Amino acid sequence: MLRIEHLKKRFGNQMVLDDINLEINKGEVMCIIGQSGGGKSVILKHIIGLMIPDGGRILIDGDEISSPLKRPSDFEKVRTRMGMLFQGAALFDSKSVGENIAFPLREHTAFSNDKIAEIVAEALEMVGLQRNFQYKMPSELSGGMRSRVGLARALVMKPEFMLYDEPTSALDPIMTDKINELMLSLRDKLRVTSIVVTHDMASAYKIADKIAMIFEGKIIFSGTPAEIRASRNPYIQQFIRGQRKLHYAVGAEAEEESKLLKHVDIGEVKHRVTLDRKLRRDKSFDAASRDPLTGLMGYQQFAVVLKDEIERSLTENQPMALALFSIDRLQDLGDSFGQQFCESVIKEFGRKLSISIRGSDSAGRFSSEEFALILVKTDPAQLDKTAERIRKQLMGITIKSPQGHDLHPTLSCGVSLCQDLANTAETLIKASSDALTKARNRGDRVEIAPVIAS
Amino acid sequence: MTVFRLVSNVGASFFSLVDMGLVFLTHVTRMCRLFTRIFARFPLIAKNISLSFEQMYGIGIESLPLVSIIAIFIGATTVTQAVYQFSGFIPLKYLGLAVCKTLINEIGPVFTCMVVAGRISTGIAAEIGSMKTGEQLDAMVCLNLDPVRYLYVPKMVACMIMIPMLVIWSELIAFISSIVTVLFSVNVTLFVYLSGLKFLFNPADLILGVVKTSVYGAIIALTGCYFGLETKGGAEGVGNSTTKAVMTSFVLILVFDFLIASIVW
Repeated sequence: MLRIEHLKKRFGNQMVLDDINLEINKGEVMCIIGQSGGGKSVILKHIIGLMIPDGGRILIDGDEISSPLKRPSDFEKVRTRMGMLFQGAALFDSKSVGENIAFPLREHTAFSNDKIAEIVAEALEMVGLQRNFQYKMPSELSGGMRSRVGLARALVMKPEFMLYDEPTSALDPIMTDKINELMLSLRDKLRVTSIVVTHDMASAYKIADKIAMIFEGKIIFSGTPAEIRASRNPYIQQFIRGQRKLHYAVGAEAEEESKLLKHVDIGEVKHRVTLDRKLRRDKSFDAASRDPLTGLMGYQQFAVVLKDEIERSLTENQPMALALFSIDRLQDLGDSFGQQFCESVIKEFGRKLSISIRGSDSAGRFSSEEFALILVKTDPAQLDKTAERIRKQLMGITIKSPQGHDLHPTLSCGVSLCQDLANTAETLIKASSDALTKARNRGDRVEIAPVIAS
Repeated sequence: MTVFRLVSNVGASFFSLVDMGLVFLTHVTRMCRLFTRIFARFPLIAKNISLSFEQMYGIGIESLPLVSIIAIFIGATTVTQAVYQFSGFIPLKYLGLAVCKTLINEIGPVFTCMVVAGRISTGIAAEIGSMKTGEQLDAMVCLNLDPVRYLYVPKMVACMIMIPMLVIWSELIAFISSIVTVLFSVNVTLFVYLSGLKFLFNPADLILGVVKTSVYGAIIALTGCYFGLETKGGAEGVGNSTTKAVMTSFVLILVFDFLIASIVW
């Protein structure tokens, strides 16, 4: 198993990776998606030792392979277990296809020339190219052929882990499909663990066992393809649907249900699809009733989702929590800097909230200065810490006042836990609201509501 | 106000000079570090000798036509200039002596190296720069193939061996060219000219003139490799790297020529 823990990397003033945590099991295909320049390839370069992290570490089967204390030479051993396919295949231009594939074999093995020629021919056949391709130069190949030769070169050393850096980004749909099939056959035949960086959602849905989404240096989602489709995070929906504007959309399409069943727990998928249908039927779930300022759910939509999540939490026996956040002294800010400034503060908090939450969580705007967040599968013992972490994360914004000063508005938070049949949407909202009032009176803190028991 | 502006401009200029100095020192340090890394892998040459032979062919044999053409004109121009400078002051029996000393000590080695640097250092910088931007260097590292060993060392070895060879060839052609020029355009007999060539001829000059070009060969390879590695961006970055490589190699060749001349003569 490959595990990435709290990985951090900074280029100059820009934090490219900020606390990345990922876990990839043996034989799994993990797709990392996200915007261009978001740090996806940087993660791969850390795994294979082309970059040394500023913080955090990477482990394979419990052994640390990368950390800030490691030197480039420390990676030589671990690289023998890995192969990497670069975006443009990165074939050596001055060498023929055969020489490209044979190069690592000649340098790292004691095989005879005949044996190497045999391995090269087998590798070419494995990626669907004829033996006589080995005499061609890379400049004579098309993009798809280059990718396949790059794959053959990476595979001759029989890696346990394959890293793919946007393998299909410059290919036509037919060639893309061939490369995807190749990746899947490697997983099935050789049990190769694969990490694929891509922004091609069709490929990700086809090949991934798990999908992780990176945004502003953080993993904002990690789950199965079905889970990402069912995610309520507006940014994730915007990305996977290729929309220009933030748009709250329901998850998996009904006709895709059969495909989803292959990858995930059937109960989970059924629940998601039922919930989505319910939401779609609900007249209140309409673009017009969304909060226009933040793009988050409005009160009514949120109440519907909250009821469903409470029902789900109780049937699955998975505790959930409702957190209400309030912007401290928003009224005073309005008096000092005007209504427009207040709106920009609310908008910024809304944006931060929509990108900070997990894919399974749901966020909405309750009133002018209050935001609500449903935290599913929450650990009751860690509730205060979780709420405080989210609150601090949200407060990490800087807003310029009309006079040009940097302002850091604070938040108060009230949280209530749902783990009993006595909980309804109303009681939960009331409990969170009371806790929030208490927190707001003191200002800049988290208050946990007493547990409601039957 | 004017005084304030003057002080501020002087201050800004001073700090920009300091900044440039620091950038220069950084480049020098990195170049030295790269040279050390290349030098440390010299013992591994034998394991991949074919790579060095390939480079020797590209750097040495393929440069022969260019070097030959340049050498023909170096020989002819040296004779023509010497005749012009001597006219009315120095007897032409010393023409051979002047041409010999000039060609062996300075013009032959330095001029040939600068011409070859224009071809080789730019070629190396462009090749390594393109490999860097095309992620081929990263691909080598991922395959546990050390780029220093497989790319830079063969180029350095080829330059250090083949450039002295090219200089010998160039001097030979230049001498032949000078003889032909003397025969057809100068009023000196072949016997007198050849006697001048042999007069005060010191084999040590020839050996040193050739040996120092091995240092220039190392400079040419090092600048090419270094600026290739420093390439950032796409085609424009590669273009900038080749320009920097050729400029720096010219300057370093002249600096080391001066240093060697100061130490030896």
